[in-house]
Amino acid sequence: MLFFPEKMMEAYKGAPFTGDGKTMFLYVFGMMGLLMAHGAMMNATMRLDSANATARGATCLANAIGWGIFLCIDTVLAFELPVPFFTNVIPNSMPSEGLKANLVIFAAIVGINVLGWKDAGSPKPNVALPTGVMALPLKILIADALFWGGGCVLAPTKMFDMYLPGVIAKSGAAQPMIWMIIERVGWSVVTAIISTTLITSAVPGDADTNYRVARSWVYRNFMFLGFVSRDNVIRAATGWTMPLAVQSTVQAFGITLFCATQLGAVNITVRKTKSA
Amino acid sequence: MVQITAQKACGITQAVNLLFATGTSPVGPTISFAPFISFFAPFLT
Repeated sequence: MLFFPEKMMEAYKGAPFTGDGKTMFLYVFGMMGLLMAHGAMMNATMRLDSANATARGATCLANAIGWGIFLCIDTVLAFELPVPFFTNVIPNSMPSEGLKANLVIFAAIVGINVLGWKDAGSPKPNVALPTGVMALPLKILIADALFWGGGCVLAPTKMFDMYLPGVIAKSGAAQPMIWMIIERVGWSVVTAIISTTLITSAVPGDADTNYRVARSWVYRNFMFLGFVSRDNVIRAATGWTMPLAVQSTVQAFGITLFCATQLGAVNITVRKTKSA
Repeated sequence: MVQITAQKACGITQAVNLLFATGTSPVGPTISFAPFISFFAPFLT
């Protein structure tokens, strides 16, 4: 999604787009990729020997819930089920076979993580805000994510009209795919919030776990700052207006700077694995 | 009964996340790197 979006769509046998529709599709597809990269970062740190075993079990539970959400919303879409609130019409440019193949992958991931959670002793964490070391940065990151995730899930039209007015309207045949991806961007952010609260509350106040989770968010935010910087290139090339560019830059930069500074300032020794 | 450790489950999830995130589907890498391979092929044979 981030680096080979068109090749990926070729694999799904999706129809190619042109003009503004193509640019906007690649824009939101990249956002989705960034959020999936965040999922990879969180799992990458929690799978290590040095991570807390209970928190790792909670990571599996969070993975099962997160991928389970995607299994549900993609089932609604792939079979065009009459479920209100969710996108349930397959875009013309996306063959349903690709969506159905995804369902198999998603179901496998859910199953694997349920087994992983059981193997870890089936920890039952709460959905609670982080406490202890790095709690404030994590709460700020969650609040920021709620703003973006909530906006994309509950009011996507308003959200994108604020930040990129009129762009989706002139995206032609790509519009249904763009809205479908935006819906999934929103749910990806929601699943990252669920993961964070489940993992950190499995071992409340555990400095090592909080540090690992916060670090993954900071990495994510640095990638996002690259996106914000790239917006200038997109704006210059397309002529799109981005009336809230300054506000979103200040928001992203301010939060990332604060959280990265807190991450660097915390007095903690992270246990190393053999490979480190 | 199939048993999968939490570490393996996280590792598999990490890999799948990365595959989707980067856009390297199973056929993606072959297609994407094909021009590089054809460029370097004369030097390698």
